[in-house]
Amino acid sequence: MTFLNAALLGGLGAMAIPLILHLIRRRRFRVVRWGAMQLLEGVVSERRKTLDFEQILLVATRMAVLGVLALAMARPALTTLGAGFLRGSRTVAIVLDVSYSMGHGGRFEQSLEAAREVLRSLGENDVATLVLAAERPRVVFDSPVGDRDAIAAALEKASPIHGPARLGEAVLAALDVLARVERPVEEVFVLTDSQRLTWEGDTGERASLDIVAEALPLTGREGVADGAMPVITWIVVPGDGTPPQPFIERIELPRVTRAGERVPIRVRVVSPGAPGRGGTVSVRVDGIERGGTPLPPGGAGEAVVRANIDEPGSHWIEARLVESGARADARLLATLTARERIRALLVDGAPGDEPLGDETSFLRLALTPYGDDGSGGGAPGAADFDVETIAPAALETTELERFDVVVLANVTAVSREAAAALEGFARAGGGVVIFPGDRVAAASWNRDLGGLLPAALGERRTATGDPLGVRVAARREVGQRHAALGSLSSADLAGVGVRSWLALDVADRDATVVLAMETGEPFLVERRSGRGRVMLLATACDDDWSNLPTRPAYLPMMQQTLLHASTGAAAAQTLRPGEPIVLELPLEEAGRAAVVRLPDGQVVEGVTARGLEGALLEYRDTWLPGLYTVRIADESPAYFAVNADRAESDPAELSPSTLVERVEARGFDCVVGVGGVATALGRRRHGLEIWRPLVWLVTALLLIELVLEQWIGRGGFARSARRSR
Amino acid sequence: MNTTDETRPLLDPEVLQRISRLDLVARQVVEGTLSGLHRSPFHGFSVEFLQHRPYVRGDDLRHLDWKVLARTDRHFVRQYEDETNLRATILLDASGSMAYASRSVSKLDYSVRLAAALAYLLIEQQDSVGLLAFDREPRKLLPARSGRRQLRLLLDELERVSPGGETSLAGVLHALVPRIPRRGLILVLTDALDDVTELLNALAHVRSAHHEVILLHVLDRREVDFDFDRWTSFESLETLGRRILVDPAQVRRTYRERFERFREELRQGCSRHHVDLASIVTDRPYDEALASFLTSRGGRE
Repeated sequence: MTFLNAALLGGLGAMAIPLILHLIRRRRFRVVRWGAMQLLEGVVSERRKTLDFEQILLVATRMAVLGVLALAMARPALTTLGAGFLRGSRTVAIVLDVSYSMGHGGRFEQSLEAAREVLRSLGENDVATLVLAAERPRVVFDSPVGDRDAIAAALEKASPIHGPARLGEAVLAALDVLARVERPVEEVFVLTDSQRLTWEGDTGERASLDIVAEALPLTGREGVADGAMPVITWIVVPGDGTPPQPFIERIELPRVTRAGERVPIRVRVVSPGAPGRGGTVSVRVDGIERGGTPLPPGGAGEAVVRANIDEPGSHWIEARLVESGARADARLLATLTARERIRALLVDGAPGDEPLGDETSFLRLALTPYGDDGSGGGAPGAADFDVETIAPAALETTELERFDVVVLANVTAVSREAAAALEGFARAGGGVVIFPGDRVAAASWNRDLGGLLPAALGERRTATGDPLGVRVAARREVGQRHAALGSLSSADLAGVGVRSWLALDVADRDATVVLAMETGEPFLVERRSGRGRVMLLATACDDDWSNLPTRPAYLPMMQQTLLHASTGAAAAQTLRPGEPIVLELPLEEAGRAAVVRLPDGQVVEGVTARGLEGALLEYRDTWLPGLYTVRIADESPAYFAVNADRAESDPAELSPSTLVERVEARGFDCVVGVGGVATALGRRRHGLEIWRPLVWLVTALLLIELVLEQWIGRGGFARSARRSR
Repeated sequence: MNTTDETRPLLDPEVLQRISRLDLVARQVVEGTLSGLHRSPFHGFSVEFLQHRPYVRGDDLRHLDWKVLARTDRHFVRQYEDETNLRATILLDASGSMAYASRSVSKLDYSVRLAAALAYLLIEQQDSVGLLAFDREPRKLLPARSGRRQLRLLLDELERVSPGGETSLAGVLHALVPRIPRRGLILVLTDALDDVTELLNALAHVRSAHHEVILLHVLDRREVDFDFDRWTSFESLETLGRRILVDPAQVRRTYRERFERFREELRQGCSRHHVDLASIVTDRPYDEALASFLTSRGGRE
């Protein structure tokens, strides 16, 4: 136990007052010449045995009142930490949440003030460290330091960054630092806000509190009492009520497109606060303004900007809310790869001599609408596909690596060798598109290409009733567009009728149904196979089984399906912080150095591509959101966009009382607001203050004194004994 | 009750204490008292008509001879045989305990003035009044006689009374019985701070000799309330060296309970032996105390 106002312990001397008063009163008595002596003697005789004891009891109670009152005024605190503190040897870790939400509503300023207050509480022999909690914890001082100015300077440099805070990991990092020094008292102060995301975790993320609690051998208070664990205090700073601002949630666009394509860029804006007065979304491609479009009324919704991507190669797209200035979440990056030509191998299972008589003639026409030689009159998008058609028998001898995508159209069966080649092709990132037909031996396919097929091939089915056949509809998740469809919509598919198809069984396969028929049966199914993609259509690619080839949707659908299937090998270029940049290069590029330009302008040189099967260039330090540019020698740059988690812009908060309840349930301490820091410090420094219960004790003693006096006046023990008799 | 508000201050014990002449005090008290009473509660024991005498204030109107009044227009009351023979003896406790005074008037002072008033009242009614002051032993007995001279002797004797030693009221009563052969009224003014059982036995003895007994229990307010507020050494007024140091607050309630038990015991004993008991606290004006006693006594007839 220790005392915050030890000087007031002198007040314990006041305990003597009742005793002195008692003695004085006994000595300075009055003399009364009395008549009714026999009555008085009778009374005194009756209570002779207990009168003195009752007096002692009363005086003792009065002494206790003053004694406990003096104790309470000296502010005693019970703690095992007290001894350590008195020896002046604390190790303190300040974990400062620098997530994006902290920059809103004055939270970060409040946290800094709280951190300064913690710093001011450090004694001469105390040491401290600082951990900044962002997407990845940053330990500012690997070993705790006693230089408070250095810690204060580091605090001043800190600022909220655009991203979430992994508070749990940050606290664990702080505990690691504390474990490096042997001090009797270890304390961690976690400064954060009340954002729901921080406390309850995002999709796939565990809540910070759980991470810390589960990492500790004992619950908070048990561990502290045991001396085995540092004291962890969560200091929660509430916002100042500033309403949240609209932000860009995502950009939707195909990962790969063809050079010269006009790409729809869909920008989704969310307004978590009250509906705004509208706004404008501006889009830049490779830093060049490509126009803006107004948002729907209310300032939220989807804005679509269409932009031509003329040059092949990597492109970066930036969407921003014009009215929101430089706010980080009013800006979002995306990347896009434009390909000049896509090499497609068509394996025709039903060749024919007549015009449009073979299986792949419609498909070939759709892929090269202006002719195979690329002399399509200079129209945009002309000759995007280099198409080569072979018979199934030639599949075994064809070097599939020369192609981006292989199409199997009404092929009866494939040999085991061909199947193995196709699987290897897909694993390496190639695209495989399969169209059934009347020649397909489903059982053979299922047997030999079962590992590749997105769905098991079933029996052939035929539409009855409607001569047009069964209709097809786009099947999409709410708010999501499947990249395989590009800009194709349900309206475009309105006139498509399927007369005959194969039943596709997607059970137990990691496949996605992209399109379905109105009967609910799968129509277009996709599956990842290795790094590649396999697409399977339920019907033939010619007009034997459906009217699809004669519909306007056929051309974009076929082009988009093949394009999408061929993007498996393309590196993911829109990343989350911490996700590594991976660039695949031809094997001969192995050993070549690349230069990575970071969002803050810093340039990292000498990043080397490592070669195994192919050459792989990898850069892992992508914690800073923004645009990363990777360039090898004089080649065109590859762009990678690192976007902070948009969930940080979700202003949903937990109430302070809920937070305190949750934290304390885990055995940790929790205070709300900068004002609570002093309380927390006092508690940490000296333990649990017990002046309140002492004041209650004083009140109780006063009550006891009152009752005792009344009881003694009424006869005390003698009366009680008489009654019991 | 029996006096006007204007006369009340004059009858206050504190005021009358300053009047040294007992006859004045007695007259003041009696006149103040009787001014509101219709008749005196004291009378003899005979019913045989003896004579007429002039009406004096306080006489029972029932004894007014209306025929004489009608004929002569003068007020006469009818006297009966032996009515003039009411023989009252006032027993005044002059023990040490009667000297207790929480204010300026001690119980003894109060009792002396009350006795004087009673004597005055009775003599005025042509009754015979005697006096015996006592503590452990009876002091001088003044036999009961009537007349002004007797009143003078009584008042002189009362003025000479001073507090003495321990009380033995029971012993005095026992000793008194053979010395008063004719039956009469025994008026005892005492604080009765004695053994209650013995006292009641003595009263029974007196009653067995056909005496009517009135016990005026004189008490001080502080003896009743025991409202002392600090440590006090209580020293006996009767026995030297007998003292108790006590915190009054600590024993107040017990004392009051014991005191009340004592009074109740006395009250029940007196009732049992047909002894009139009147408790009088010394802060009460004499006339009020006397009147309340006389009224209650009159009511009993």
